[in-house]
Amino acid sequence: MKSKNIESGFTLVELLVTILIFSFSISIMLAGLDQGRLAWSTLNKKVESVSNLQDRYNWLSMLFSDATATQFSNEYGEAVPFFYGDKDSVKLLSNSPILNGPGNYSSIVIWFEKSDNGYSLFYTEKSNADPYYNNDEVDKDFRKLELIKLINTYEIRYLAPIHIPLDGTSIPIEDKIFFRYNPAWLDFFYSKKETSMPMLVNIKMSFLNKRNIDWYFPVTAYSTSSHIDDEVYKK
Amino acid sequence: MILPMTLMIMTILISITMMMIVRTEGMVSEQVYERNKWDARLRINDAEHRLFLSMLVGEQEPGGFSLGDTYIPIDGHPLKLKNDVTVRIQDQAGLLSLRYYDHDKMSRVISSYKIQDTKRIADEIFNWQDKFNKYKYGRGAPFRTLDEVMMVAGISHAVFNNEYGDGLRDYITLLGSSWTNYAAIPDSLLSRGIYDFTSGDLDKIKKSKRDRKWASLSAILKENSLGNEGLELTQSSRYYIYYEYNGFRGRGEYQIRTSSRFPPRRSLWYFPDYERLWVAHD
Repeated sequence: MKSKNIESGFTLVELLVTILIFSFSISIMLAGLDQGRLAWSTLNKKVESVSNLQDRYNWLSMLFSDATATQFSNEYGEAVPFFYGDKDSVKLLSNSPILNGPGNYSSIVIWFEKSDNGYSLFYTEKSNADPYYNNDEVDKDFRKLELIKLINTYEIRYLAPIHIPLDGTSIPIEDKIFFRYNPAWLDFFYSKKETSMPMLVNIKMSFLNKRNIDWYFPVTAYSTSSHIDDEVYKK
Repeated sequence: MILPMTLMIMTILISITMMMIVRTEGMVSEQVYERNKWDARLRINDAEHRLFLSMLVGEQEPGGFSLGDTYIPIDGHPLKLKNDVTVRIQDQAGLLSLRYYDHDKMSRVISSYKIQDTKRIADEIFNWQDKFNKYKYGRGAPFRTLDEVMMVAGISHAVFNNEYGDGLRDYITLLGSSWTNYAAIPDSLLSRGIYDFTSGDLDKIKKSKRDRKWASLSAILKENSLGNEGLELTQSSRYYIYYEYNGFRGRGEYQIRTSSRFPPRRSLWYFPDYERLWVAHD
């Protein structure tokens, strides 16, 4: 009896060819997938940077809208709020500082500074500090927070309110810049000279990646705790 | 051999896709939140201007403003405006002032939050502001902000905020007024037992506020000898206004007089109105 030795299945060559075709198609698919992942991660990064900026905007906007306009005595015995702004930095008091959060009365400094790559916007705060306690000098390196980086150019401006001199007072020429009959945009704002808070703060930035932002923050101009010398009455 | 490989690859691909979906969902919901917040901000801005108008030209009653068919209570009773923003206006003469300090009432309102040692806390709140205090305690000048009250030992942030409503911060004001407007005391503060009314009187007071029966409210006050030459039913010009739309809360403090320039002075603006928290370090 002759037995036929026929085995069903694939030959080695068939199997090799199958594996080759399979791995080829898988590699094409993976390459496609990688392209997709790359595109997605680029988009993701973009969205993340937008939402990061959105966070920074929200923080700053709360900080300015919760600014404290409490009045302190200046050297002439006038009652003036505390706000010092120039073209590189802003110094103010706020009840919504970024690090400690809403409810923490703090002295705050925000400033632009040259860093390794363009400019950065830095931030620092000091709890429970103000000119009345005479502890409002903030150490910029203590709890320094880099809010925004990779900035190419920047500009800070302040919308100064109407400031009319009192009748009969003469103003030295160098102080004329602190008086006006209509609100005006300035690149400095000293509340000691203005006896008020700015109405708006405008921060413009252009980034190294060509993106531009132009932010306007309304500033609280009055505080109910208006004057440092007010008395407290007890029943 | 091919089947398990395919299955493995399918599993890997599906898990990668799931990861991407989850992350994208997070980003999308964040953007939706921002959009809703902005929408709420715009509506609250509208609501603010409608209220300004009603309060500046409306007829002033002891417990609110009336303008045509609309009546706007000023005792913190909620009112839904046509643009779906719920507002609550609170005349500060119905609250406890920190500047015109009533020690007894402050101590009672603190004890209504079930804390001990209320007399000491009420004393310390006054001493904090008092420039003549012997102990060199606190600031020695008026509070800069209501939040500073949390720095007085015993006032925890839970008492101060009470989860967004009915916290101590809703019942005290920095300046307020030197008199009390009994038509402006919020119902919830009346229920905290800081005034010497009988429970029958309290119900009558709440009812006459809702029905705008000022004569009967005046009669109750006279019976309790709380008359103050008419001031007991007179609004101050300072108000807290609370806004709520779609879960977003805002809070402002205003000085509104009929002689005010438009827009009136806003001395406080919280949006979103987060819980306040004092962090003791530095």
